[in-house]
Amino acid sequence: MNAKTLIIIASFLSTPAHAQGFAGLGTTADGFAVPDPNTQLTFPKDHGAHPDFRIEWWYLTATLKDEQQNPYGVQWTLFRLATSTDDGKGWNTPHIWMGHAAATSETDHVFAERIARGGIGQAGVESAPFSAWIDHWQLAESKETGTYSLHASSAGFSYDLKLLETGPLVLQGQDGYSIKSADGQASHYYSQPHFDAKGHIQFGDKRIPVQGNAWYDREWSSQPLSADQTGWDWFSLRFDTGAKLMGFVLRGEKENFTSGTWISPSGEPTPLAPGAFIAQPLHIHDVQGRTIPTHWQVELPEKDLSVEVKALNPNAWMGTNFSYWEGPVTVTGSHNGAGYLEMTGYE
Amino acid sequence: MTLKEKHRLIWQSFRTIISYWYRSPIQFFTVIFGLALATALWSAVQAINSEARASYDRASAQLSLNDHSTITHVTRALQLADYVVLRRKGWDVSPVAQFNLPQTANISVILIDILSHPSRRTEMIPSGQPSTTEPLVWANYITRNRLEALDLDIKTSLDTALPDNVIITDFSQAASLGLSTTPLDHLLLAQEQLPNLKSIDTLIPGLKINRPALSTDTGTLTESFHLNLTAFGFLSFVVGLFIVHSMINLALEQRRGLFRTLRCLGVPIWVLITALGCEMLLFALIAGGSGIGIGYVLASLLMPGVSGTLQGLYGADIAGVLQLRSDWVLSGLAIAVFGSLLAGARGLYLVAKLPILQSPALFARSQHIQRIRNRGAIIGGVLLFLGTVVLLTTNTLIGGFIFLGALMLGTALALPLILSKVISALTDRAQPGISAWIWSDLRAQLHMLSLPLMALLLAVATNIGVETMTSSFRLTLISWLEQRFTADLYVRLEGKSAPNHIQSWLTDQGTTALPLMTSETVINGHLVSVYGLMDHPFYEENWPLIAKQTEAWPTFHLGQGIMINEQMAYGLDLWPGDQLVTGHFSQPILGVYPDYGNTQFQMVMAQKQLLLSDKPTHIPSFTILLNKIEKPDIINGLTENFGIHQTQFLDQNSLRTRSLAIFDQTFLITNALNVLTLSVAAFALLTSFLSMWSQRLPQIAPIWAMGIPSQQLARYEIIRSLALGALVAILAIPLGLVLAWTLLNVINVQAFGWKLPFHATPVSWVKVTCLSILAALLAALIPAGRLRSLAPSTLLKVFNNER
Repeated sequence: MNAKTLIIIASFLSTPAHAQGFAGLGTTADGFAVPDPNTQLTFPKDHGAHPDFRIEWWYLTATLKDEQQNPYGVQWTLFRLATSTDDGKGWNTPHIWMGHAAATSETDHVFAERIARGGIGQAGVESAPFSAWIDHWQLAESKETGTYSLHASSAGFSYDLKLLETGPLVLQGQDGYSIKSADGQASHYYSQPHFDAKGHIQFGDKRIPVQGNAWYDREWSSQPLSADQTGWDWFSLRFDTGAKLMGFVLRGEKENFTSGTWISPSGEPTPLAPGAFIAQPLHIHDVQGRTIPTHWQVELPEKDLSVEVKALNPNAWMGTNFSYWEGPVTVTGSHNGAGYLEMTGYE
Repeated sequence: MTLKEKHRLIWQSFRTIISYWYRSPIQFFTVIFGLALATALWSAVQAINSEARASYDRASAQLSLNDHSTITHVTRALQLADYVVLRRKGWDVSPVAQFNLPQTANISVILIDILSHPSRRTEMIPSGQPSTTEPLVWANYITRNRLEALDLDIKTSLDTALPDNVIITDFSQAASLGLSTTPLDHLLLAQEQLPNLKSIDTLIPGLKINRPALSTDTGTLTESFHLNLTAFGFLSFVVGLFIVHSMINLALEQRRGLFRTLRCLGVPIWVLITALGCEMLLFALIAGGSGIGIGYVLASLLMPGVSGTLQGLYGADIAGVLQLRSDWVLSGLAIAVFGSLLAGARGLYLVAKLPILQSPALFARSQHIQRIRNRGAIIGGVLLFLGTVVLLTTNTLIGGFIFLGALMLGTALALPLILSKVISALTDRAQPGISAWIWSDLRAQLHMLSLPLMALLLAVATNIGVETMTSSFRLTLISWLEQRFTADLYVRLEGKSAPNHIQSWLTDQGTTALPLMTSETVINGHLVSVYGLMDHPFYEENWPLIAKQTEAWPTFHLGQGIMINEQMAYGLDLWPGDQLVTGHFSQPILGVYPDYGNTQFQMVMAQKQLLLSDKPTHIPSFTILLNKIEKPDIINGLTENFGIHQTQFLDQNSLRTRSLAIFDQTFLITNALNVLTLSVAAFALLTSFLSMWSQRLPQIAPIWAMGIPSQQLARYEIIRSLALGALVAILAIPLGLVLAWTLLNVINVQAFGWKLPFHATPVSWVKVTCLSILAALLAALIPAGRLRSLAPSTLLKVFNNER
């Protein structure tokens, strides 16, 4: 679950709609395609872009360790936003692309942002062989089946990872149709949580060889939030047992909406009913003038799960055009493990 | 005494001291107003300075096209694919296309990509909710009106920074308007690039990086504007201290009797001092607070001048809105509090030494006063000496400022002695009787007036100094513009233009086209622009030189020497007769030319000499002498035949007008501040007159008793003040001239690398002298008015109370 600034930038670049919710994600989907529960996702076609929908994102996080077992995290995200339903080509394209990249250790958090117009080749996605890029940042399928390479670099940091697919794709929600509010807002959403990752991260002049796992999310919609939803807390957790959990809390003015998916060690998804996933803040942290809950109690009673989820680096603030908190977490309690946490809408 | 009793005693003493002001509300407001004024002047200058700084940063961020290196291809036009290849390899570049608007004569369209443009993107991408529906097409008023007149359906957002007849738009907007977006003209190269990128000509053979074209840099004028404000900030601080000092003295002087009474009643001295300290703090806070308010209003009034200046300098639209910034608010309060305590320390010391039983024999201290004067003069002399030593030995900007500080302070400290000597001489020459009395009376009061007179001296001298500097600057600029830019038209070439074709076309039309060949070299770690000049009498007739060898130009055209700009001459200490040696290159310096507004080193040589060197050259511009051919014909011809845009032409008139407008705006605010500083000095003088009032009566009473009517005494009071004003102004003129000389020949050279010829402007001296006399007159009006309406009983009381 991740999208942010595109609506605003796009609406600035064209006719501004009355933006609603965090980063305008609650803005109505006028004229754009709307997610349909009857849609069957097909691959590799759905790895590519869906220009009929207003927004979508290709989103990868990795939890990694160096040779001394020090933990690290890496984020790589590509967003697409259509500013109108026009079908323009070249400079006339209504699509704007934005990339976010970050690398996090216990003491450091560095990030960068890129923005580009679609239609001219500077940013885009191809479904087969898969490739998603903005400028020189790229997530691309390699020649060997099931392997991918990931690269991003900016002033002060860079990373290069090789990714190896070790399990099946996971369709979130009902066969990839993920409901986001009681009003019925939804998105198409699938993940690939089974990646082994290996490569290096560079902080300044320091090049650190790392190894671990990665989690890839694909989501597209035209109005993923209802108008009163102001932000979300989204968890992707990987337990030592091999099981995984994706869960989110969408914070609404009237009520919160929670949902998620339990993924068995073999990759079998079980959608969670609204309210089954419970997340309560345990500790808040001041970062960049905001008060952010960086330590959580997460419960999933139906799986006897009760864990504390704690930020590896509480200062993992993404000071991008539309800012949010995103960083690696450690998991302890009934299940141990690691994962990623994203929190938006804390103004 | 218990602690509670001590507190009570302090509180009672405090109430007693404060109660004085109930009976003298006018004096109370004078003290508060004086302190507030000092704070106000300081705060206003600080506010303007900090606002201007913030504005510069915004404006600099907006400065666009000329500041960046560009990428072009040596043989072909750039395509969008070139841009994408470089971006995908990590290069931070941004595409720019440029063409003339179809169906319009001479309107250039510059296409940029706002998402990647180095200077526009930050302001274009808002960090908040969308707030604007303005089109992504920018033009100034003139262009906008032309578009409307041409009935073109192009909606524009206003950008006053743009030249006439130029539109800037985003590629996407241009595409949606149906305008052509290819080929690209060039790529802008951001200053910061990632490390370890593959070189651009490895990625695409034939690409080359062009350094930013040399342009008349407005940055140096900005700097000079800043320097002005900083100097004013410093001056206002000093003048502020003087005025605070005289205010505190007024407040203490008026209550000597009260203090004595309190002491006689048994109030310990420490209680008295504590109570006075509390009072001072209270005054400082009240006055400081209101001073910041006045300063804010003052700065708001002056801000339009500042934004006008910035608009002139950058052509950028800077909001003339003042923000409350903590730095100057706090510094305003600090000057009020610390200034009061600093200025009041001496007063408190005198109160502490106050004899209980006997009134201080103020005027029987002439020997002591003489010692103080002498000491001041000696310290002043030492300061002047040390300042001169620093100036001569360090030869740096800081050295220049130290010299300026020492000069101003040293002269101010020496002022009482100088004035006393001058007045003594006048007393000796005066006829016995009333005129002798006037002069000796003036001399007797001199020590009380010395501080406000110092403030007046500094204010007047600064006025003269700054005025002389600005008019020298202006006159020099005009004559330089007239000499250097005499050609009728200048054309700047870009990327694909073919200089040979343009030159032969221009010659065919009957004009004289002088190509300016350019190259670059590095000398002693400095990047030096090298220009090759054609052999033509135009240069000898119009290129001003500040130093030259004999037969400089004929030797130059023979290729037997070079000329360098003033910046390079000062920077490398090379003058006519010296030899410039770098690597295999060795040439004598034939002349040094002024190059105002430029910060870089530059040298010119004969074109054939440059062609013979192994350096890559190109022709970035033509100087065109029209030889009576119509200018519009040439401009239109170049546009039609060679696709040269409006932005590439520069004509002499518009250059001159623009430069002078920028200049005048820059120094507009200086004049306003000049007047303000003088007013504050006048107020300081007034308060000193007022604080002397109670001591004046015993001196005036006998004269009145001898038959001089009070009206006449009031006139003498005014004459006395006028004389002081005139004397100070006369003394300030040489000081102001030394100040101007230092600004022009030391500060300017150190700060910007060019010296300005000194132009004396006697008219301004007369003007400032008149202003100084006017200040003195205004200061004397209230005391003189009081004297005039003095009741005889008051004067008679003096004899009753004879001690």
